Amino acid sequence: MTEPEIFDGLTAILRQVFDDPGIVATPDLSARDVAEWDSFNHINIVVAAEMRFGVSFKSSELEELRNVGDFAALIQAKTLP
Amino acid sequence: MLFHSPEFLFAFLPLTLAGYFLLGRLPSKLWALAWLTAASLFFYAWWNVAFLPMLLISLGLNYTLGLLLVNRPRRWLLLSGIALNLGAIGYFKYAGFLVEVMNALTAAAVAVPHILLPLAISFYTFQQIAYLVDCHEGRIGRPNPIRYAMFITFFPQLIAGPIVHYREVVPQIERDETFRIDQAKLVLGFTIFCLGLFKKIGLADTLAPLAQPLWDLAADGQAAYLAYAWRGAVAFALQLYFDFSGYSDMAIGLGLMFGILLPFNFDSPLKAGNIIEFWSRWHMTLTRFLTSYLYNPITKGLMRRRMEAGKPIWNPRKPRAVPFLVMLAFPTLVTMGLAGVWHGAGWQFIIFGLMHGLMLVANHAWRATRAGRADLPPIVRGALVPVNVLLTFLAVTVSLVFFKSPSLTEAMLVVQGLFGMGEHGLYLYSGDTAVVLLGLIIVWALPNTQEWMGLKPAPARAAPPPAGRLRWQPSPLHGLFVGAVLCVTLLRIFGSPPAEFLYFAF
Repeated sequence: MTEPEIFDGLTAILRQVFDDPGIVATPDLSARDVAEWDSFNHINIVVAAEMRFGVSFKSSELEELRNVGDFAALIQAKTLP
Repeated sequence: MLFHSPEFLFAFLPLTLAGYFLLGRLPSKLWALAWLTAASLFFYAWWNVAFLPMLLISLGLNYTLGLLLVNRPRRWLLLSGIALNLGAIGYFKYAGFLVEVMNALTAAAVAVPHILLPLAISFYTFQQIAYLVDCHEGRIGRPNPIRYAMFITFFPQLIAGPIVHYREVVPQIERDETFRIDQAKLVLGFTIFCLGLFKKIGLADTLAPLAQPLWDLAADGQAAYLAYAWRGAVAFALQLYFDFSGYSDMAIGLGLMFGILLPFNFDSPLKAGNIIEFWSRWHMTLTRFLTSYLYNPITKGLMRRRMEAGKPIWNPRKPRAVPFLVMLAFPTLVTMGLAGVWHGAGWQFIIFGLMHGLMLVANHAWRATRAGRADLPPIVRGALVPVNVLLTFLAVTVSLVFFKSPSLTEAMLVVQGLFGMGEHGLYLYSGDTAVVLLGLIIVWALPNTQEWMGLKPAPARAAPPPAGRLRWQPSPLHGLFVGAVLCVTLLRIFGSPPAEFLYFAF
């Protein structure tokens, strides 16, 4: 999957989870930038991404994520043909 | 050996550092790591040699399990490993409590066993559980036994955290430059250590005698009058924060002196504007552990199952009772209940955990209400910040009464005082009250250690932090300031016997 496809998908997920049509998935966006990005919404985003991109994440992988850029890179690595 | 004892400061630390950097000049860095491991075991055994075998057994067993998991990641092996670790904590921490509960329920009179709790067992066990999960997930190559032993026993973090991951520490000790004397790291580490030392000696130990009388009254079966109860409870909340965050700063500072960066454990939690935020800033490495290995798997499993079954998932904009209870309240209460129990065996810890669980659930529920979601003008939002911080702080203060109390009876007497139902206590000396107020000012108005040291990453969307004059720099002025703080602290250390850290009890 290409990088723009992943970021588009993540933008759609973030907009749906946070009900904020203005939010855009950018590489340096992180949970600290969005007030409602708590542990529940985090899992909401992760599960939505797992279903959308057809991948699954390990707990250690999730813990290492610092921002949306890391998340996109992880998804890209997992969807390589 | 406590970090603030003369034997640590003037013998153990300089000798260990010297040996580490001297052996670090050899081509194989494993000598330096073996030295550090031996020093750490000595540091640990200084308390009580009887604790040492348990640590060594745990170390050997988990290393072997890790090797097996790296070779063949089998789920049953991981689960047995986790069960074995939890079983060990369970036996040492909860066997006595469970016998008491069973006696009460069945009117039996089984003798309550007095089991000596091995120091640090909760911390080193959690760290090794995380390690086994990492091995199972294929995140670890072939672990070297000396690096592994050093990673678990590293004395700055052995006794009370931060709870670190293998992948955070071991890559650092695989690099040769870690073993070279780095003046910047030494100075930075020593400064952070001094700040932590001051938090413990200058602040926590000064606040302790202001909190204790409230619990002495409760031990006599008396509830204090309103102002007395609140001052004592606030003094304890501040004492605990300075004690544990001071310990964590010391651990991080010491780690840095050895060239190893440990994760921060506190981020001004008492400045939090709600309970959800509080837990993302208080004892952060424990929160991270519980989130990764307890809360996330439960929530993820529930969410997947409900999505696949086409059932609604929790959404604050379309609040519905069943998804709220199943998907939000249930995992939160289980996680926080266990977080409470982790701190100790006793009903007061269960209540402490459940109180925080309920407050978190209430926080989520509030976000789902129209008022909680209202888009307030920035001026109103700004004006509400102090109100939010104060309310959060008061709620945390009440919960910590359970944390501190030796039993539920005493906790309830203190809480009665907080609700104006008591009339005991002495006259409030204004000097003592001023100390508590000073503590609040430090907590609310000053930057925290990592902010002051310029080590805190800024959020992407926020403006970069102003290059304030307050920010620490390796300059004579700041050196003088830290030196003065250290002098005052040392004078106090020599003036009285060192008091243990509160978190050593876990």
